[in-house]
Amino acid sequence: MHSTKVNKLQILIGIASLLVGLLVYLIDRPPDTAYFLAGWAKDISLYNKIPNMFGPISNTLPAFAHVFSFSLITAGILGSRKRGYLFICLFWLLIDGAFEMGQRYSSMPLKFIPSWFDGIPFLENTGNFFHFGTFDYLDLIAFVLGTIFAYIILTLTMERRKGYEREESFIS
Amino acid sequence: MKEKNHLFLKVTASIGLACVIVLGFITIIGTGGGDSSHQSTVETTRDGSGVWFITGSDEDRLYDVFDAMGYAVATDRLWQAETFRRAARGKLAEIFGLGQLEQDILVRITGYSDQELEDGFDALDGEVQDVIEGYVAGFNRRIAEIRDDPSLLPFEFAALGFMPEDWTYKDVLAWAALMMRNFDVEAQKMGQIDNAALYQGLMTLYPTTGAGMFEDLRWINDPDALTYIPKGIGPLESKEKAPSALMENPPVIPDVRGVAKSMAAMRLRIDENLKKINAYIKMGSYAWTVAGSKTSDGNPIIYSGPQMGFTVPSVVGEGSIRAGGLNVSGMIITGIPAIVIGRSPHHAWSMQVGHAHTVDYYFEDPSDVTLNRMETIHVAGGDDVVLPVWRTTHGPVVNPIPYDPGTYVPSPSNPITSWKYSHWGYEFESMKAYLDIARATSMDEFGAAIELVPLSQHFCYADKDGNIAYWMSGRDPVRPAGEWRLPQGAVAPPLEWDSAVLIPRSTDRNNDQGYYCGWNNKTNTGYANSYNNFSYFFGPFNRAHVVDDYLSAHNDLTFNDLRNLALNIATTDSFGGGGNPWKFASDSFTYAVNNAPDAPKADRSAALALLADWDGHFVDGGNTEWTEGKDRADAWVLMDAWIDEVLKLTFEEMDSPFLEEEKEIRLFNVLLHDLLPGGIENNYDWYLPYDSYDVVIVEALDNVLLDLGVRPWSQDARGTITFNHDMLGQVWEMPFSSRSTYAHCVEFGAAGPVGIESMFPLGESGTILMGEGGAPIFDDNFFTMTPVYDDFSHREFPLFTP
Repeated sequence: MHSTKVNKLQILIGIASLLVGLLVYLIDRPPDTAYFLAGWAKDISLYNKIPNMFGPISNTLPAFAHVFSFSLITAGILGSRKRGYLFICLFWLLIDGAFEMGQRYSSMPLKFIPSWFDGIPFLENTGNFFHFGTFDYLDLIAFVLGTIFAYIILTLTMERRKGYEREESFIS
Repeated sequence: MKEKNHLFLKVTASIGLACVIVLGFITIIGTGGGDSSHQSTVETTRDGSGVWFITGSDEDRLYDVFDAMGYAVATDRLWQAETFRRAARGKLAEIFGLGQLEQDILVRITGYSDQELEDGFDALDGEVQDVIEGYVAGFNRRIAEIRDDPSLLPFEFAALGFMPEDWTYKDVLAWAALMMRNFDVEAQKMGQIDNAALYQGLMTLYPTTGAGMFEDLRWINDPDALTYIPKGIGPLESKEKAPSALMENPPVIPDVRGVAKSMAAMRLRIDENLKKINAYIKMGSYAWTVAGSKTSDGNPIIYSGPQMGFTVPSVVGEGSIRAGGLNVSGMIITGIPAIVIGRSPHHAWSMQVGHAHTVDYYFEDPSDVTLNRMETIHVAGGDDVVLPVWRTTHGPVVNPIPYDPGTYVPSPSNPITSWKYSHWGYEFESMKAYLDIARATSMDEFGAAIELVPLSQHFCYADKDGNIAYWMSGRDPVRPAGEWRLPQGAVAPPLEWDSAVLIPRSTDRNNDQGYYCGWNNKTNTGYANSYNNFSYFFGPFNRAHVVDDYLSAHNDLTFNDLRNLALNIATTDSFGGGGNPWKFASDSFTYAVNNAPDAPKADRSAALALLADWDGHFVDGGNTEWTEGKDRADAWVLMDAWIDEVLKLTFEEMDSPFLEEEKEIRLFNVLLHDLLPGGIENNYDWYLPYDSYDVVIVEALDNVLLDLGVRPWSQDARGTITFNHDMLGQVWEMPFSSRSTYAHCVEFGAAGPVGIESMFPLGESGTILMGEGGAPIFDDNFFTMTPVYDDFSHREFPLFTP
């Protein structure tokens, strides 16, 4: 890989977007709707302590933000270029879309969850994610929008190539 | 140096990439599916009768709550549940053999395919999916226990030699759909086909008067019929005679008498076969809700008495759920994850079969029929049956069964017939409806939930805010004007409707009379009869009058008064399953006897005197005798025989086979249309060849008195209700009455229920284990309800106190 430099701007935008998604869970959603707010983390929830911030978009904003932010962070770390952006964005679209569809057809993924996930932080929630998570068509739309926006922002924030550099892709 | 830098960058980027991907996955999993660290606080306890109480916190998941319910029900009723799900999935023949094949065929044809069940489940709300999956998990938890310890295997499985398979959500959805069709007056009936046969038969025998006779026997709407929603006008003083287009220009229609007969015979065989395995489910019911203005404490009081037959074990049980945001108790039906009839801290409700017009039959052209799928039915002791399922745009093809385009010869007397059901595709919404009904905190919310109920039921309602209300649920589509008593395509090009476009809901709240009540009678004056179910043709007489008569005549009613009204009305009996027909016949019959040319005659006068002193119950003697008495009242015997003889003489000229199916209650109402003022006037003089009804009435009385002989006429003739297990035979019996299967009576104070009493037959458990030598061992809670059910004493149920 002829790596280019890490694109800090993209990473920063990605992290900022991730924090926006986090705010939805902290402010607009009851803490027991998310695994990561379980236990002691419940105390950091601001739900019902301050007014809801995101209104009707709070349902789909996290879906948008997830694809968007991880596409930017991944691309920023890899310092890749246009073709790479496309692959990165589609990769996260595929991952998020697959998990969402897993909630719709939960019986299938549930069969493949190994028992050793039990007790391992986050992994232990995999079954619950598919079992109790709610499939929403709007989330799929949000993923697609997040992908498109991510690609646009990546393109706009791409560091220009110096003379000796050549176009390279994420997988080259 | 440069290469080292490159290597460092490569490694760093790879680690960064891996971290980002892991973080991406973690943030997906960590933000979905709720808090798995929340420890379920759901617990199940049982009272001394085995009734289960599920408790927990509001934060508990519905999944966990209904897992507990599924486990409790599976522990109590696993065999019953097995017969229900097999009936719903078309898998009875797999264990019972050829005897149940027809039910399997019918349900596979009219039921949902596997794919439709999957799609239906996917379309449900997430919380409803949780409810169903939790319930299924609870069932499967119990089944797993039995697999680990086969001594827990219920007797029936052991006798037939198989272990239950795991339940799936498809079992629950399919059973919910079939159960609701069992409770829908039209879903499984084929009155339009029968009407076509009746019309054809009448026109053949009576070419000039047949159409008028058909109108009389199949009147559309009697405005004088007793209604749940009080009439806006008083009884009509003049007769209504409104000839239909069918009468003015009687059409020639296909002769489908043979088809009607064979379809009816098949349905009858199916019902009888289901009864043999205690899987035949039906519903009637009485209910009343009374406002504070008519009660002694000023509190609204509701009584619900669904009549669902007397199977072993009972089709119903009871339970309480106070967890997961639910706070509700009441009647449960095995295999359904819901409290079906119940009460919450805010309100209570009843359900009785309604009469929305939900089914139409269509005569189809072969070119309209398409193959939907192939089904394979396994048959114990026989070869597999491969069944093609054909549909048209209206719905499944229900004649011929099975349809075979290769051998079918188009014939007007054997038309391809499809079944169009207005609840098709809406039936899975019932689970959401049950949740919303239980969680409602206002009449409006309750009414909104009624819109989701995919079967036609009368709902009576009372709440802690002092309200009483009434709804008739069900999807009754707007239909274009036309002849809907007959199949579409029989007399004119078929008319179409859209199940999404419904007529206005029949509902009312807080009326002036201070109560709503009924016993499967008519919803409101504007509603037509049910053309597919002849038990729902409403005329001057309906058994519901005994409830209405009592409530209209009494004020300052107590909880006990309204609870005991159940025993009062259940000890009336008639060809209408309750009620007192004499109230409606007495004036005409008395007049005819007193004005007969040879009057007075001592025996006739004595008969009239006996009836004049009678209180209308089939058992004399008041409360104690109503519960324990063994004799029928002589007055009741006389009344029943006399009216029966009058009907026989009046309609005896119509001795054709297709009229044998006419039910007495309908013929009695045809008679009353002539004898009573107001309402409908018959087109045909049914008393012919006699000179008048008076002659018929007197001759009938003479015949009956001669036949009855010397009193007493009815010692030890009360009859019994027997409970027959499908393998062990009769396991219980009690005195006959026209009673409900479940009952609850609830009084509401301003803070919630202040009194709850309930009862149901036999016991909470239906479990029988196999003992040594194959002897049955009944569960301790198999008969625990009999002390309070058999004598109508009811039992106190816990209130919603903390």
